Amino acid sequence: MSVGPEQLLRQALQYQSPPQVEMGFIDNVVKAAAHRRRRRVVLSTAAVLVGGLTAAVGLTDFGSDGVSALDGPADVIPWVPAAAPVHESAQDASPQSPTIRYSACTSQQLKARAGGLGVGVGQVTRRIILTNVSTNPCSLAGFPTMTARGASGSDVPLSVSRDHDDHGLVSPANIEPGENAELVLTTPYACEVGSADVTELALSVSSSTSVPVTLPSAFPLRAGCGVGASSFGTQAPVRAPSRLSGLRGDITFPDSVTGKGSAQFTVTLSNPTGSDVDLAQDCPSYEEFLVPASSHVSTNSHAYYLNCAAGSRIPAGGSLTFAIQVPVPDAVGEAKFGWILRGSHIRLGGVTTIQ
Amino acid sequence: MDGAERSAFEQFAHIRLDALLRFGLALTGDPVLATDLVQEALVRTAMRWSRVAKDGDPYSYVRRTMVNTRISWWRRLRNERLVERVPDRAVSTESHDPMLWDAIRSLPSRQRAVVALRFYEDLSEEQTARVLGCTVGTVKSQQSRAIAKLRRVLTKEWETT
Repeated sequence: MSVGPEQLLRQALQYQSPPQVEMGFIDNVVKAAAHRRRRRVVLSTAAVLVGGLTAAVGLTDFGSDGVSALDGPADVIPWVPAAAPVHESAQDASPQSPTIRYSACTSQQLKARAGGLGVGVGQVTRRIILTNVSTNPCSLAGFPTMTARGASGSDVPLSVSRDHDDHGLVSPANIEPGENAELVLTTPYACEVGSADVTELALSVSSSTSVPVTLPSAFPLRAGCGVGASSFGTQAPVRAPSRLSGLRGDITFPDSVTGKGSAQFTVTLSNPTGSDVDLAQDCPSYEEFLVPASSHVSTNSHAYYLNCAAGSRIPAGGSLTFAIQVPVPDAVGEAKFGWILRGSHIRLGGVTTIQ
Repeated sequence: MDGAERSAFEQFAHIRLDALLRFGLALTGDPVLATDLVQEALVRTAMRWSRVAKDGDPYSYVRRTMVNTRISWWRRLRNERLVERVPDRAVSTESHDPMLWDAIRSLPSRQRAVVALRFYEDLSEEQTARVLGCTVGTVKSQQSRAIAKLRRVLTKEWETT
């Protein structure tokens, strides 16, 4: 007896493993929502002060049906093919790792607590926060060793391996009084049944001293398959804001584009800050791409400078709209597009259809 | 969102994440797009969490948002950069039945939405119509076209293998 498409569909869809998401997925969702709410407030205020057009930028649910790429504001700055280097300059390279500046922390100097849980690719992560509660700075370097106890108070054998992912931390950790160091513990997802649940850890911070950490009993460390431990570190410093860091961006990209040519779209850069942003001096560049969503083949991204000759200044509370072009690959179907203004927080993108 | 609301949202998202990702996969046929779609829908839900939670059915709200969302923002609050390379598909979509997934991906987005709601979420035709904001007749015709196309594609594939 043959199986119809309906049954195949049910089987394929309902027994499908979910796509894997990166660590901190939900945390990032919450942060993104908070960021957008703040942005709305800023732009709503701008609406009152500047007028409706500026305010519409950023609140538009771009990509809605029927929106043409060129349906933006009338004063669109034309695109110019001024190619920029594909790779960014060394100024964006990661800063050098710090060195150990202070003597090693002792257990008396530190207080440890459980930080946030994260869900990663087949892994659960747990941050451990260590606060320097003394009046002197101290340093933590290298990987921790630890012993564990379960809810019953009995020792739990623990196999700890070194996790060389930095998890966004900079090592070693030089901790001023009152500041924090962190480390990240990682356990596999699929190791729950029969696993030893750890509710208390003793972290060795030097050869002879250790710091106790109590884990929430509702979310113990499931340690039966071993634990990965990152090195001690501190949160990577936030880079100094650039002149572009206050800008906001919006993109209007057509729902569908025709293959083999160039797709035209617009990017509106708005300036909710209180001072003008000068583009003429050191004209900013951007990266862009349009690639088939189902493609395994890497395609080049492209980099160009903005047309700063035509749009040299974004006034405080104002905006500029640039026409942009991107080559359309020789393909059909859904595709991802992306646009990044270098030196800013602006990363725009979405999905379109190549016809 | 205050601390209690944030905690409730995070709990909801943790519990429903796998189901939403599966639904996203059914809607898009692509794990990367599915992840983007879920992220976008959850962000929109988080922004309106007090009202959504008060209405009592946040899962339906997210699902409806996913269906209606055409554009996903990138993970712009992270430090990671957009790359031109589309990550390889997760093994999961290819290992089950690559022909079927290719066929699902080849469906127009509206038909994929009907397929996802009817065959993954097991919604009735009436419920599907409510989510999509269309008539039951449209759901029936979209489903019929989708099934016909899948039957054609799969029959052709089977004949050539």
